[in-house]
Formats: sequence, C-alpha cells, structure tokens
Amino acid sequence: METLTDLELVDEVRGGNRQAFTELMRRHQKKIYWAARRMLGTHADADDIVQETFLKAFMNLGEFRGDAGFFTWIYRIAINLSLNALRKRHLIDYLQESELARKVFPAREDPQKDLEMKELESLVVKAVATLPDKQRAVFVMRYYEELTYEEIAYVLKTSVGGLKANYFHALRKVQEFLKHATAG
Amino acid sequence: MRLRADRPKVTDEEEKALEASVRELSLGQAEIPPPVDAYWQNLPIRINKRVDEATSGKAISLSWAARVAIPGVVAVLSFLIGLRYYAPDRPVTPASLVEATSALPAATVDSLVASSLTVADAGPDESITGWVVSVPHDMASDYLCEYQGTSMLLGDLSDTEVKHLLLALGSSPN
Repeated sequence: METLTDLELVDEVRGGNRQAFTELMRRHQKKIYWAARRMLGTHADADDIVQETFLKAFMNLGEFRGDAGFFTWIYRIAINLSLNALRKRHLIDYLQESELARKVFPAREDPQKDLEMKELESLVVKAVATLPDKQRAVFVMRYYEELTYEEIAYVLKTSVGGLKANYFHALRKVQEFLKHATAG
Repeated sequence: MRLRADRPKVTDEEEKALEASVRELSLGQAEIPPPVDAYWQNLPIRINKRVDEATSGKAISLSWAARVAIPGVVAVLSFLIGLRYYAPDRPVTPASLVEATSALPAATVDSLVASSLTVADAGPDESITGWVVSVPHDMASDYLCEYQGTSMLLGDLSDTEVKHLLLALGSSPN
C-alpha cells in the first residue's frame, strides 16, 4: 500500500479496498488536522473537522475526477468545513451577546471554553484569530502550508488576483499584533 | 478618491520581506501543543468506524426500500387499479322511495304508519319516525282500516297509539 500513489489508492478504494482508504488517511491526516487547528484554534474543533473531512471524502469519492491532486481535493473540503465552523461560531458569539440570550441563558462556568482560552495563549494563534475568515484561510494556507496562489484559488474557488492582497493584509495585521504584544 | 483598480500591486519582494518579519517576531513564541502519538494512531480507526456507520445506514435504507417501501407502493397501485377496473358498476338510478317501502315487511310498514300518527301532534323533533314518515291522518286511517282491522291493531298497539288512532278514525277512546 505504501508504494502506491494517491490516485492508485483512490482507484483501490473505489474497488472496495478499505485498507487503501486507511492508507490515504495516514498520509494526509496531519496536514488536514493542522490546517483546521490553525483556522479554528482548538484541538476539539480540529478533530471534528478531520473526521468530517475524511467521511465526506469517502462518501463523495465518485465526485473526485483527479483534475487536482487527492490531497488538494480533501484540503478544499477541510478548509470549507472550517470556514463553515467559523461562520457558526460567529453566529453563536453574536447570539450570546444579545440581551435576550443573556436573560434566557445566564452565564455559567464552561470548562471547554476555559480550555479553548488556554490554547489561545499562543500569541500567533491569538493573532490569527483576529483575522477575518477569508484572510485567515489564506494566511494559514500560504504561511504555514506554503501553498501556491493557484492552489489556494482552487481551494477557495476564487481568482488568484485578490489572494495576494488578502495575504499581504493578513501579514500586516499579524505583524502589528505581534509587535504590540511583544512590546507590552 | 482612489479606485480599487488603482491600488498599488504588492510585489513578491514586499510580500517576502513582510513574511520574514512575521516569522522573526513569532520566533520563541509558544507553539500550539501537538496531540499525542496515540491520537494519530486512533484517528483512522475512529474515522473508519464513522464510515461504517454511515454506509450501514445507507444499506439499511436500501433494504428498507426493498422490504417495505416498494411492496407498499405496489400494493397501493394494485388497489387503485383494481378499484378503477374491477369494482362492480353502480346502478344508474338509485332505488325510489316507493321501491324501498315496498321491500319492507308489512308489519314494519304498519308500525311506521301507526308511529307517525302517534308523534304527528308531538312535533317533528320527538322521534325519527315522525321526521322520516309523516302520514296525514285520513290517509293513515284508510290504510289501517283496509289492511289490518281494528281488533288486531288494538292488540298490537300501545295505549297512546290506540288513542291517536281512534282520534284519527273519528271515534272516542272511551
């Protein structure tokens, strides 16, 4: 199994070989995990995203045509799931800020939230968390994963043109954040 | 006002310089703690379990369709086709009141006529008989005299019915 390429493994999975799918997961799980972790900040969220990504990939393997690599294809799934999770998080944050929510659901101790805050102690993670969703995705893909702009454009289904500017703005914001944090 | 298109483009050099600065600033900063090795070993097992659950759910729904849904649809269609092509034809015109009454036993007709006499004066809501069968007194008396005879009637009818019957016939109950 280890000697087969991703595309050969995909063909094996289509033929009903589940061992081939396990090999694909072993190859790519770490990169998917770290992309999700850097996007969302916490281990629990990243773990959810990795599981959902591979489950979705398995169920929709028929849609994979091989025009992009298998990793790029599942990477796109992971980033989209992460962006959806961020959207939901913003909505929850917004709702929790509302007066009605405070009355209906009074504040209480949340161990999960405490854990998340501890994880956010890393300054870079904090800096990334301040970026808007799309900038955050571009930053993670370019800064950490070192994807090309063409690959990022494929993942985000967008044109290359705006991505460069997005990344530059994200870099500036992170730089400012780190400067302030280290100076204080 | 500067238009979007006029915005100066970022050169590769500018981007690389800024990126290097960020990397330098983040040096020595706390890194995100990675998961333990056991996590990576267990992750494919957990995902495979979820894949099994998801695909077995699909299998259940397929077998459910084969065992329940498809036979159900066939049964309903068969019933509807049967109803359309094999149901007995209904008569063109329904039976008339005369035909329906003629089919009743004589004793039932007598009873209906006598009851009609009893309740006619009490109002239409007293009895269903009065509502269904309302026979004029003179017609009822003619009918009873012709087909029954007073002695038989007196034996079968209640006191109230006899009273009303005699009143209809123009006699006094005493």
